[in-house]
Amino acid sequence: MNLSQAPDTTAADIPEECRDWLRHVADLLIPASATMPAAGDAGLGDGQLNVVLRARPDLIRDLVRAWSSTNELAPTEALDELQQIDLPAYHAVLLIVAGSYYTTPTVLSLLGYAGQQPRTVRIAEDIDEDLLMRVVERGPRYRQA
Amino acid sequence: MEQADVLIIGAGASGGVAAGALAQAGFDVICLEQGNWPDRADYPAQRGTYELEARKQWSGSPNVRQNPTDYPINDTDSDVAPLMYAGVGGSMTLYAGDWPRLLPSDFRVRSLDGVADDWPLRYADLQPFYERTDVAFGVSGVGGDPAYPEGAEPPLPPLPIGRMGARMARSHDKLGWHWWPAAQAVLSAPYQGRRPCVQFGACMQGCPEGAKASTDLTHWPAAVAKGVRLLTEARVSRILMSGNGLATGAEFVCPDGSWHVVRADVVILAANAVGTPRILLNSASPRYPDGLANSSGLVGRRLMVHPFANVTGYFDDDVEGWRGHVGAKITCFEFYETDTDRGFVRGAKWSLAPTGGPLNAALPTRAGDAVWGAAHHEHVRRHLGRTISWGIFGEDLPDETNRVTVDAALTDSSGIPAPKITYSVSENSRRLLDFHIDRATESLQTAGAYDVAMESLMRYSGWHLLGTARMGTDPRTSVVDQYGRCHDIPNLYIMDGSVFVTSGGVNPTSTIAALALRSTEHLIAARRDQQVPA
Repeated sequence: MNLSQAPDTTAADIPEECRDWLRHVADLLIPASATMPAAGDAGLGDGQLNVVLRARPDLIRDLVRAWSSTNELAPTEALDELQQIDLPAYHAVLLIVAGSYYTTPTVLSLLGYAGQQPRTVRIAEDIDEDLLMRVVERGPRYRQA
Repeated sequence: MEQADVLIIGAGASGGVAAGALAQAGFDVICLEQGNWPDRADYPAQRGTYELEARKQWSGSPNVRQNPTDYPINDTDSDVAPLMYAGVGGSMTLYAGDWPRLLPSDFRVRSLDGVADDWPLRYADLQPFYERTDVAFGVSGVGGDPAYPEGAEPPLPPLPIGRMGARMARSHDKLGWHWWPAAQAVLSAPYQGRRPCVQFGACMQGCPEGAKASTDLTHWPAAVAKGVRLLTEARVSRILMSGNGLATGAEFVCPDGSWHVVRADVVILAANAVGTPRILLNSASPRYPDGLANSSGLVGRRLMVHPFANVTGYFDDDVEGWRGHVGAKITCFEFYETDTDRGFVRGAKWSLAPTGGPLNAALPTRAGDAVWGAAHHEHVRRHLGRTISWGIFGEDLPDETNRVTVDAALTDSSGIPAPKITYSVSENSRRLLDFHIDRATESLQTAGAYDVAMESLMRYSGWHLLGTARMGTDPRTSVVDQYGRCHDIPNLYIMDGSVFVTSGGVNPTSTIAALALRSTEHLIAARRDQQVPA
């Protein structure tokens, strides 16, 4: 089956060979550091590819085309090739890899990112009234018209 | 066939304000809205994938989003991509909630600075309406800002300015520059049955709490309860005219392809500064070969889009750069007024905004491919939570060659000709942004930034679409009068950003809402004196 031309391809249809290829490419884009895992282990390795593609099914076609056209190349060469001949597919791969990585709870925890959690607003506690008064004392900033 | 006293086209900011006032006055009103009622449960703020969705289905660009209710826009000849949203609440669904007013000088640009044109009204004329719309939408802020004349306090106390706002306030105190907690149409406390902001930091993909004001929350429920008929997924193709030169209603199409007509005694266009000229131009006929209300030739011309730049400071410590409401923590009007020594006229307002979550940190558009490989983690560590950004909104001066036309080939899914935008950034705008970028850099460095990056004239920054059916007193040089009534067709009103004479340098929604209220109340008061063209 030519997946890149199948109109109703879903995340579940992405073959394991494509997932393997993407993990190798991902490790190049986001390698491990002393404190952070590589993207092939975290994110894509944690099954986040399906999460990303369910949220962004429009990326499936570009991903499959990227894999189909470069899977016989080494990951570095594959990325170079995509950047030269198929920029939409290249950007889709970058977004999928980063999207998978930065939606992984382990990664977010390691980063200390605590966004998207509801907080009670503390009204006006962080405004320094003395500084504000000095703005007022400097006088009007507008032109009379 | 439906019939009403007043037909409103578009259920966004101004359509909602107009519907509310007309319903209150007892008018029989129909509104045709091309989109749907928003479903807050569908907003992505609480999903882990929200930053991915923001780049597609929650993009501000209809060309990227491609919802069934969107119309395409040919923007290949434009320096800036127009951003908007179709639905009840309109583009307020995706706006940031930043709620500044125009300043007094904005209404007298010709008199003060010798450029563009004066408005046919002054700040003092609009101030009472600003104050009333602040109450209706639920604005949070601090009164007494010396950037503005004295007036009523905002109805709600300010939202938190956060670590980043506090730091930049200290910086501006050192510099002796203006700063002020930003007026935001985002609730800091429970208000009129709505819940306050919980700081998801994803305002521009819809507010799941309903804390950010949009007319689907603030105006439409009450208007519908008073009998206004709001028809969604109703896409208007043209305004219909009588033989005596009055508008009689509009033709529209539903998703099933069925075509319908609404008749009304008064028609109000509230479809934004791209959609409104599109409809007027698409309404051309042998009697009106240049489109409706276009004897001046200005329908679609003088499109203004605020030139925009981001200046980002990098800090060693965590400033929680991803936290909080997106519109602005604090604002700065230090360099808003003209100083001809700077080499340009007019100025810009600065908004201090969060810098986004981890995907935004990993994929900043200015960083190119250098973010990948061994440097990736250091790149993200530098960005995420440790950056502060000034968003700079500059004034765009009107130019008749910047315009909305009807594309010769492109149509929406109903076959209605789509708009084409031709727009070039002016030399004044470029100089203005260069100056402000330098000053914002100074601001961030004074606050302790060890590095500063900037992104100027971003393509996807066309949030503020203005000026394509300007108001004025002379029918030869303007499309509508100071109350939005078309000079050529006295029962056809325009009540969106199209009517702006100049753009100012501030987010326009507050002014659009105030003008809509003023125009609607004038319409109501003058209704018994309906004129007929000679």
